[in-house]
Amino acid sequence: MSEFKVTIRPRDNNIHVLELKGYLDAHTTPVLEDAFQQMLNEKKYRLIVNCRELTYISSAGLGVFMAFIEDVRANTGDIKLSDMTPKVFNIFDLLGFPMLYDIVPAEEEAAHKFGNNA
Amino acid sequence: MSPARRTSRSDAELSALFEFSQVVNSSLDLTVILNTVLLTLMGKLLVTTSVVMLRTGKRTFTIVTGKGIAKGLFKQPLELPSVRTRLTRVDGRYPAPLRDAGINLLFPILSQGKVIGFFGVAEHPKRPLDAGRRTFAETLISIAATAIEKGYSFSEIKTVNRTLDEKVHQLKTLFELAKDFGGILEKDALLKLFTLTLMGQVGTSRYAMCLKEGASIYSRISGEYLESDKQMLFQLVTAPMLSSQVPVRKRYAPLREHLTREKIAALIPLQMQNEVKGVLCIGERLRGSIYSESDLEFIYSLANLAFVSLENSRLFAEAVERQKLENELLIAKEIQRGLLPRTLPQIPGFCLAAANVSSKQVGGDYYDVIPTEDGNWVVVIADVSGKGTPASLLMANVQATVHALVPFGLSLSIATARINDLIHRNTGADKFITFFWGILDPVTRTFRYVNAGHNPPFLMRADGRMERLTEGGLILGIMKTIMPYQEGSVTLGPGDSIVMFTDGVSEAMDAQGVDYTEERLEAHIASRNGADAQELLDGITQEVRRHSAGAPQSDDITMVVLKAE
Repeated sequence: MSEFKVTIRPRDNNIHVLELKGYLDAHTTPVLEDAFQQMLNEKKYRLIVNCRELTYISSAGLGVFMAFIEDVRANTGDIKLSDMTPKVFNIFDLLGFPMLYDIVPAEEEAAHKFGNNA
Repeated sequence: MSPARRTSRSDAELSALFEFSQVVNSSLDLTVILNTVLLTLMGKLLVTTSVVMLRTGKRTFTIVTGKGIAKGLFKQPLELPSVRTRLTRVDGRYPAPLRDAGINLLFPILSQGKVIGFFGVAEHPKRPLDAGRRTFAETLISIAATAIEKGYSFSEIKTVNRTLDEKVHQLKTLFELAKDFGGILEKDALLKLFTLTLMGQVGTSRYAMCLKEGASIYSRISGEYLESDKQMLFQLVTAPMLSSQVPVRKRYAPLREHLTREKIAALIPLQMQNEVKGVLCIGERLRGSIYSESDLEFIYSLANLAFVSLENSRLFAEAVERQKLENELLIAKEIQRGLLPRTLPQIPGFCLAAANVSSKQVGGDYYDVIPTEDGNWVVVIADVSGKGTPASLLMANVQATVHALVPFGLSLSIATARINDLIHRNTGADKFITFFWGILDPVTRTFRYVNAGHNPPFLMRADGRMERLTEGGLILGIMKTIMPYQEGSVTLGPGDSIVMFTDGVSEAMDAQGVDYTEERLEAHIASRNGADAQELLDGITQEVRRHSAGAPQSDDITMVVLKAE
């Protein structure tokens, strides 16, 4: 069984960071879904997904991002992604995600893009 | 200019050219190469406006980059009046965007004598380029030409590589899903994975799976409209297609309207062994772009993978359900079997044999031998109408009633009437029971009986004469008792036998559907005079088996044989 973990870490300006670790595939997508759902339930819509320790993402994993982005943006929030390894970025890139999401090299930059109007 | 100064100037130009050549040849990135060329040219020629156009057709050129011009001009194809291999001056025949930007000189970029593009510059109106600068520019461009061509091929290869990467990723996704789908047998989990993958890979979560068998599945699409189009979809969609490809014909008008209303962009057939078993309708993608042929192909593979797994999961669920039912039937059968006597009692001066061969289904046959308090024996045989669980429930009811009534010592006639009224009150008119029972007094050797519509048992006297036990009344359960049941009575001498049976014996069918019949049963019994109870019973069982060889047993076969010694 593949290992996957999400750690939620609050930071300044009412932003929450989801740190992904491990292998995100069909078996582990429910973990990420639950994490996003928890954020929505708690009305936390300013989200950064830090992918530094994400080693793989399958199409179903990408689907989770698509499944939540509309709800998050409808509440004037956003999901921004940061710290991807080149391998993981390549998968996002192939499927055209850079057109839909802010994908930046570093978490700080993502936080900066949210601005201060918390 | 002094000779020394001239030498140092040409030295500087040479070293500049050398450095330039190193820079442009060390890069494979077309943008970097072109930018270097442009900036170097602009610096040397002292111009502020310049463009690079690359050839995209016979006389068509596209501006790929430039300085000092509006970005809106980039990527626009421009048709030139002529393509020459030497420095060209822009005149009125040249496209307006070039002239408007002030570009008046075009330096050809040559590769093996062929024009692959142009550098265009806008000369300063007051400082036209002198021959030296023009030559320098031409030299510079000829040095850059190879690098530009290399960079151009490289960018083409990059595009091809990306397309390949996409394909590889699609294949990888399909491969992964084949593995994952195979491991999931639960429908909801399957659909969830399919939805997420569709969403991640294609960018939509709106779909409808219209299925021929089983209920259709709708995800973020209302089935209200599509449900009526199902048959048409099954006929129309035999290969992946866009909604816009649905023929504009009158008969397809409602379908086209529904597809537009539900924002369905593409239709994908779901097939099994080349037969369309359903159609997947998918919504527009969130990214906005339309589905390419390669997208449709991918969705087709993905959807069919999911569909096959769904079918498997459906069949699996059905098999589990069937297994459950079979298990329940088995339990019902066991319970029913428990209601029949496990062993037959020893009655002094008499010999008993009984058999119940149940068919595949639970049936409603019943027999029993119960002692009374005054030393007599009650013998029962009955057949509940119908088969399956309802029949077996009613049979259990009869068994309980009989056991409850026997200790009261009521007369057979009155007890039969009671049972009849009870059954009639508690069941519908379509449920009835043929019922025969008797009380044997082993001392006086009399057998008093009531036959409520049951196949009359045979009484074979020791001398071979055959009698039928017919006294009694109506079948149980049809109507309330109005006429009392008549009791019959026979005295059993040594060697007399009573053969009680259900219609499973007389109506046992052979492979051609022909009944065994009571006549043949009677003839067989007559031929076995002298056999003891068990032998008589076994003989009949074998006869019936022989008769119905090759045909499935459709009814329970039940017999009780009582022989006086």
